[in-house]
Amino acid sequence: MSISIGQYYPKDSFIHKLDSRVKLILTICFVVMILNADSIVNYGTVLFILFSVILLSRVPFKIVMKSVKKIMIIILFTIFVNLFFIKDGNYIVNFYFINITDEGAIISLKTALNLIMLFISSSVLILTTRPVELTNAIEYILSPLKLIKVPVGDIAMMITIAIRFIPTLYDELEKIKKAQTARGIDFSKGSLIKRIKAYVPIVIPMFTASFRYADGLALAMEARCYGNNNVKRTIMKQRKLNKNDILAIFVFLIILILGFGGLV
Amino acid sequence: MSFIECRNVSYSYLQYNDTNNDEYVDVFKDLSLCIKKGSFNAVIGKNASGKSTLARLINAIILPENGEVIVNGLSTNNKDNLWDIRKTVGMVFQNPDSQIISSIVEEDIAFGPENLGLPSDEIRKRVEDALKFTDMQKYRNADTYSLSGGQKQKIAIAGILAMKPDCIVLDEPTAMLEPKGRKQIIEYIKRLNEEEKITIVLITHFMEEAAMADNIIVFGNGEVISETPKNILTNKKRLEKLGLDTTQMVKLKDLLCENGINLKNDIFNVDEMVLALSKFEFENKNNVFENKLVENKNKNIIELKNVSFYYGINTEFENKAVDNVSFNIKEGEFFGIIGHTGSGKSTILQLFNGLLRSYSGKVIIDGIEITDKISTNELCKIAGLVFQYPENQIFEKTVYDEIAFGVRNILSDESEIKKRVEKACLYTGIDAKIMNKSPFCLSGGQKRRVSIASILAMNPKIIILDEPAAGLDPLGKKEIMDNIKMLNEKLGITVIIVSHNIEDIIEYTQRVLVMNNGKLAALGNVREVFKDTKMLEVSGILLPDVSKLMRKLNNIGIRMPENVYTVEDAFEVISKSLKR
Repeated sequence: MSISIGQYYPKDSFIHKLDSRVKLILTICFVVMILNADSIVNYGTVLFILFSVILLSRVPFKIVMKSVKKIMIIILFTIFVNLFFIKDGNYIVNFYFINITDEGAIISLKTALNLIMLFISSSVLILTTRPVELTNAIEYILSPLKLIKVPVGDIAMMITIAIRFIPTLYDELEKIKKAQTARGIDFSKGSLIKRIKAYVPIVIPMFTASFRYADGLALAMEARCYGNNNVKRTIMKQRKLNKNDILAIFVFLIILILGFGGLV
Repeated sequence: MSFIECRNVSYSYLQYNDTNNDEYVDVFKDLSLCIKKGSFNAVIGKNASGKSTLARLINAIILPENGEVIVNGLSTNNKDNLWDIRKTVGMVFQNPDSQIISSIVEEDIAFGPENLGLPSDEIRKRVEDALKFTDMQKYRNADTYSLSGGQKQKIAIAGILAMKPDCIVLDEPTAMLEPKGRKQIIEYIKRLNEEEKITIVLITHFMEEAAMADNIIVFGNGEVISETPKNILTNKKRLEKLGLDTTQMVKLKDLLCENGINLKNDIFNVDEMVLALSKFEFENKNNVFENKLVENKNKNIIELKNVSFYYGINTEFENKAVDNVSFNIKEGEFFGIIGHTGSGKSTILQLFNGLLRSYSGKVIIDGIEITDKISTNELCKIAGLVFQYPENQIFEKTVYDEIAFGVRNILSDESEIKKRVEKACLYTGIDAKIMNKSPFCLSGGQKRRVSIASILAMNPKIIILDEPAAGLDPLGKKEIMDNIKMLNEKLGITVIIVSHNIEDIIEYTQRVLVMNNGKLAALGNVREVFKDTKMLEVSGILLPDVSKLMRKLNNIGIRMPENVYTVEDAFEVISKSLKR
């Protein structure tokens, strides 16, 4: 009955074990590479990295492609717009109102490919990194903001707790929905207003449940000494890069120089 | 030496009434109390008698209005002591879900030590030790969400242990657990006291748990008594006055004494009872306990034929929650379903009223076969389902509207609705005076009655209740169960209850279905079914103390039937075979 948060796909692969900060930063670099790809060699490089990472992560290809399915409409729409509205270049089709130029075709192909790769790369990151670790990585990247008094630690704690409570509250929602259905609510009958009203018996108990959890959690956190400003919080998991992390960065840089040498 | 001391402590809270005259209610006045270093203390008392307030006072989460609470020489009234006190006294709460902070087990355990600002190596070491103590090493990287209730409570204990406190206060840590998980948690608590020399304050509703303490603190009727378990538990009359229960052995001893069998007054656990009875002479005839139940010859109101239900079908998470199960329930029966968490019992309940639809097989309710054409709405009128902790679904402005909610979904005639609501109130013992109150203001037991009344008002032929007594104090529990029994007897409603608790099943139901891993483990007359000790063990069901007594007496050569589960029956068989 468990639901997966985000879409973390548990496996014991090289990619899964990489430091989340390395993964996040490399993904950002990779996105920049995609957006700057301009030649066959560039695209070849990017695709090579993408496929090798998917292979290394041992996440089934079908699952990786799931995220692409969700945005298929957006991709088709961009192809459509680019294909029919770019008027530069030579016409390859010129039939009444259907006018397609060679440049339009290339640009639409490129945009579609870019979009697909962007989505795949970010979903590989999410599929191989636990939400909590991702939060840690974000906290690390944002840590310079502490200098201008942004409470990065508190924000990260809030995200951690939010992630922790998604499945709990989801279960609660399912339970309340079922219980009210057992009391005769029908969500599928009646006018629109009636149907919206049918959700009141769900929304209010969800509110009380959230407050109940929040109240309990606040108590538990206080009892475990959270919020003592005189003591600087420490962290158990020392973030140290290991051999594999350094290897990954090194290989990535080499491929970057080989494929995008012109850019550097 | 006293480790925790309450000196003339008073505390009250503001009670919200919907009539705008909010009032202060005293939780306790002039409370004085001593807790010795290294001792094991149990705190018992009715719901809302101030037990949790005491826990929070000790941890300096709330401060006394008058008087002083002193922990290890530090007064909670002094703000500078706050963090030292919280470091000294750890707390474990009732609800496993609201005290886990991180999604990963070891990170959650590290939360406390991290707040103390300890060096990473030290935190790592403490987390390791805590994982080892609670036997949770295997789960260090597990997702906290995927754990069972008992495992979550172990994590909560580990998280406190890693802070190395001198004292741990546990506020009903086992109330939301099934018997097996409860037993485990209590064992860890005992070990914390014995091996780690940690002072324990255990708040509980279970007298068997309280019986293990060195000292019991009783809250009730505005007074607080602190004495040894023997003095408190053997005084049944005083406990009854406080709305509390005692252990099965004390009840049995009282019954035997009342009938002229002379037993010492200080028996309160099984071993002492065995020892006391071994001094008597018994007739060693084959003592058989007769089955007194008459067979119900009514027609079937529920029929399940080869029913299966899978969660996450055709995915890698596929889980056979109900696997090829067949059984019937007769009209007017009081039927029990028992099994551990994840055994499929909650899934079965939802098959009865169409909330879940079987994957294969037939479900027939009151002569209607459940097919895709029949809506859940239609089935709800026949089979009313009261979920676990139904008070969590309350949302209306008044008690009346809350009870009327279900009927209003199926009827529109307000005068008929009113009649139905009044009848439901009559049969669930809800006072007409509270009809205009907000249901959120009611006590836990009252809220539960309102939830049951709301289902009852829909006039179902069958009422299904998932753990109707969970979380209530002994008296509240008995009241609710007796009430449900009356619905069965007076209104002829078929009642199906799900419970972890073998004693409730034996006392109230006629037939029982035991579920284990989605399969039917046993079905039949309660006494027959529970004879099979091996099956019970496999299905994670714990025997009540009287059954353990019977087995232990057998072991020392006093022949006793093993199908005895209630105090009354135990009294009967013992007095029958006693040589006088």
